[in-house]
Amino acid sequence: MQELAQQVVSGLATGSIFASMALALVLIYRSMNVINFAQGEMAMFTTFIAWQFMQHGVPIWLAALLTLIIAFLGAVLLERAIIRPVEGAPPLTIVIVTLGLLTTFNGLAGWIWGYVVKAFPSPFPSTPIEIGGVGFSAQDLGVIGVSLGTLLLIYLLFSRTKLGLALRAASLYPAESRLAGIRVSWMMALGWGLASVVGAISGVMIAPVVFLDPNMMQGIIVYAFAAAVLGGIESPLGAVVGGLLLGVTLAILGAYVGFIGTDLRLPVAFGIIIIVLLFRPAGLFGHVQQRRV
Amino acid sequence: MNLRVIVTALFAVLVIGLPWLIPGFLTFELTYVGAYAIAILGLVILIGNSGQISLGHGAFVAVGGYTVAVLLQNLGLPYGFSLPVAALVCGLLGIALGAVALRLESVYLALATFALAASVSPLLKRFKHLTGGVQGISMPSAHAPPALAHVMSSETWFYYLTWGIAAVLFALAYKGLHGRVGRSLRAIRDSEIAAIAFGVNPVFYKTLAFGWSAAYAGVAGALLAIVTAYVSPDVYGIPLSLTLLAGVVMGGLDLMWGAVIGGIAIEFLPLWAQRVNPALSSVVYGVAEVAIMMFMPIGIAGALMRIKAARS
Amino acid sequence: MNTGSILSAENLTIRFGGIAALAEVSFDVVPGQITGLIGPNGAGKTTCFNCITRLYQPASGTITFNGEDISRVPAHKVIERGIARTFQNIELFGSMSVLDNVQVGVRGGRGRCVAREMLDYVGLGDMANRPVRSLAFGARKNVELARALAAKPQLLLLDEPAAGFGFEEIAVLGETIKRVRRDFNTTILMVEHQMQLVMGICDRIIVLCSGKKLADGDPAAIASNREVIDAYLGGGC
Repeated sequence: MQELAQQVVSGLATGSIFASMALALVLIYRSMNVINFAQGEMAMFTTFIAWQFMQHGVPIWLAALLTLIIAFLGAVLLERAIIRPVEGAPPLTIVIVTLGLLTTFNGLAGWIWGYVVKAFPSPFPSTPIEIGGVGFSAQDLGVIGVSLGTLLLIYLLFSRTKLGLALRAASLYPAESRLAGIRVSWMMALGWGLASVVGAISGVMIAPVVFLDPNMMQGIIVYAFAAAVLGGIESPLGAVVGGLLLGVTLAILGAYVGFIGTDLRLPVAFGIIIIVLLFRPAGLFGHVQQRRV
Repeated sequence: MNLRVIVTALFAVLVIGLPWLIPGFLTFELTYVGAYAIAILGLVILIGNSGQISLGHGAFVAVGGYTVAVLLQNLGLPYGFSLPVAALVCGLLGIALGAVALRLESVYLALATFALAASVSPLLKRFKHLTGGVQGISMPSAHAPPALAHVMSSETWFYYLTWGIAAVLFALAYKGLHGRVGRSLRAIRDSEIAAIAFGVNPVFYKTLAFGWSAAYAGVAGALLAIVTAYVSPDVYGIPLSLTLLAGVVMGGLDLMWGAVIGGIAIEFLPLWAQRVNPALSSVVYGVAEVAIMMFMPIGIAGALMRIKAARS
Repeated sequence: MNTGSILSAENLTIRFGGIAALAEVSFDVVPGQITGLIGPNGAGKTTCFNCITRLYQPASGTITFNGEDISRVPAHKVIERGIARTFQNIELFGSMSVLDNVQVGVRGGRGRCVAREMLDYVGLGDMANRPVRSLAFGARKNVELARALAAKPQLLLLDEPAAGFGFEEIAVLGETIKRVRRDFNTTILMVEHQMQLVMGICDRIIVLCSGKKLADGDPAAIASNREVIDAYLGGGC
């Protein structure tokens, strides 16, 4: 029973990372119907920047803050310079552009920092925290806390602020929003900035566990895709629920289903993507899109 | 029209003559170019002509390679037989994936095939007794058949084997893409509803494109396995699929001979880039992909053709 | 069902997300006539076309063409039954030349020959080798027409052929459609908003409103039909 509880919490921790990355994907997808394949690599790159700050003696919380600012500004710049020019292009073009960004960021990180795996300090203590007599990893609980906290802030931004309203309007009704005076294309850039910040936070959360190297997000982004698809690619709530659900499911499958263990988690994610897209493309919380000719 | 025949003939002469003029290791590298060109040609058919994106063709390269290795190790089947089997197996798997792909729009298809590419290595490692797990399968180095062994080295033999097969596969693709099949694929790519309205069966042609491109990727994988005499899981992952994508984009998405340019690029770029920095080739691929899709979606081959057309 | 009709729709019903885009719509198309399909926006006109060409599967109802029930025929086989169409938002094959676009429409042999004839017929003979993307709007519409004619259809569906046209172009279009009917001996069913064109060349007009058939008759009868006038003036139906 204890072990189950620990597995669930552990699953929630990885799940909250999936949820954050999935939310970043959904944020961008909702605003411009683009899947940013480079989301994971951008998160990895910003994590390296945080690491670099810490190498120069900057304390971890300050380094993280500076990194978030850089992540935001960098992503806005990226959207303006590279994504905006291809906005109206066929889906294939945009997919290849974001894949090109994936490859570029991966290569840049490898070039600047090399492929030797690095340790990344955790902001959380390493002593276990006892709840109800069960020892849980402080790292796990911290990750859950920070990730859910971030998601809550994003939710509040979107639902309680004028800016959030403008963001939502711009993504759902671009033409009408322009008439209302909203700078729609800047809203898109803002969406990228926010997604990048969410990604950066995820990167900093996960790096202590998986260690820092240019390839650290390549598996995680697949789980993020699965979470987003499972939740419904247009639903932020779906991304969060999908991520947590996926994390817990993988943890339990990993611990209790010997056949799958920890080796076949990626194929399980692939299976989930295929099954959801084939049988319930809208996912748990999305709306079924009618194809009109 | 005549120019095309002349250029092809010259190219053929070059390909046939090269091994006798260059050092052995270069012949070896050009053999890889040939195998990659076959895989990239498959993507020209699938992405360039039928407009369906697959980020998971590394999976078919893997199946092709492992089919040859497993058949050799467990059944002692020589690669003369296992090569066609690899093509067939991959073709059928490709059709199966194509059937699934019919239900997925481009972005979702990209997502799903990306996840497929990520799943290849874990699956290969898991089913150890068949695939040799993490260590992969080492095969005895194949040699040129006895009749030719005193005339040419193994490298030269593999070179001719690969480029000979490539020639056949390119000719087949040429026939198909310039005929009814190609026109139907491109019609579907440009406007599926108009294609349907004018008699093109999208289910048939889209799955055909998947099966065809998968078979080519499988042949490439089989050739790579034979030439390297080794297959292992970590070679066939997302990086391979993304590299093949980079190859088809750089060559020119819908140009057949762009596949050769793509093959040259993805074989030699890493070798040259290594001298500066091992990560440089990734940066070059990435920047090239972004730049090409933004400014010159027709790729290098397409640009060369535009220049030629502008001159005439 | 009228046995003299070339196309017959009976009780066509189709829903999108709970709203009936077509509700029990029935009509006949008389061979050799130019029939107009009109109605306010959202009436279900293009939905009707898409059901006839089998892009949509109606929830109920049947479609009969030349005496054959085509309600279950796969969409890509509609052309070989003898039905060709043009599209409201031009759907040409952007990467191909003008001639190649038209050639896709040809059934049977002598593809390039027939394609050239069709291009000449619509007056685009000298544009054959140009990339279709480079043509002006009106010319692109004519390429679509040529492509549909290349199939030598018995029934030609025109989806808003006058969309985007000015007064003079509409007059030319009217003459062209009449010429096509005569030279190709084909029946024409046309979705259109331009009343000038509809009243000018249609032998019969079917009026849809909110997915239901409102009226059906010759232009004079439709023009004086109280309900039709109300529907267009925004009174709904």
